[in-house]
Amino acid sequence: MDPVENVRATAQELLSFAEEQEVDVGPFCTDGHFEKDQRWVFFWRKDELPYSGPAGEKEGTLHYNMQGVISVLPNKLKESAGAFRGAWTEAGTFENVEQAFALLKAWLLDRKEVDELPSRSVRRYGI
Amino acid sequence: MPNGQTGRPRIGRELGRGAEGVVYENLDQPGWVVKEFYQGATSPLQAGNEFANLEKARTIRPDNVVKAQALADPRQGWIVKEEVYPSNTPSDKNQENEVLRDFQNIHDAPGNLMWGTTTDNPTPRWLLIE
Repeated sequence: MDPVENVRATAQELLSFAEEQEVDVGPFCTDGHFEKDQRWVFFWRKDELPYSGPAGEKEGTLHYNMQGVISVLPNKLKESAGAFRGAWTEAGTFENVEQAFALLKAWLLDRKEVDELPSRSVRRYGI
Repeated sequence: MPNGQTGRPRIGRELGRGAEGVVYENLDQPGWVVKEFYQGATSPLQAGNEFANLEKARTIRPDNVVKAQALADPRQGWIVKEEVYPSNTPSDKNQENEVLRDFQNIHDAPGNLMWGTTTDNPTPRWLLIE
């Protein structure tokens, strides 16, 4: 699938799930990209094309990439306080749409700090 | 001063990590970072593979890929790359879509994008970091 269409289609899955939960994230979604107050996240699913994930990964795996401002340095980098500039970047995968929605809500709407975010499989992170 | 035996720059605090290695401050070259690959868990040629992947992407969109320094030893366990400073400006959706499409043959490209700047180029943009 075209990567932009992949991101848009996966965002639509999230929007539909959010609607079922009666949570309105639509105002924060532009062209498949969720962004609010200096934080963003987008999602896509693994398909047959190389861009969408590691070779050998199961097709349909739900991925995310997020970035934005944070106030609290996450525990896993607590020794790096001197390098902290108030920002976070992270990418990984989810087991299902429910997990993805929980992260979307916690990151954008509830503005949780990194150590307060819900369960997910983190593949890379950085400050 | 770089390590005299390995040529690796001196490293400082950890800045992040991923499936293949850990990223550290580069104490000898401001504006650059050092990524050290996990020994035993990745190919001994991983640094060269990452350099090749970034160079391949740079032929497609040079302004949207971090620069990496060529390896002195193809089996060295580390690579020096530009540091990306996350930008707090709203991201450019049109550029994001262009980058996603242009990098559709780059493995795992969406997961390795950041919105930020580098020392050499202060314009916020989408950057492929590995």
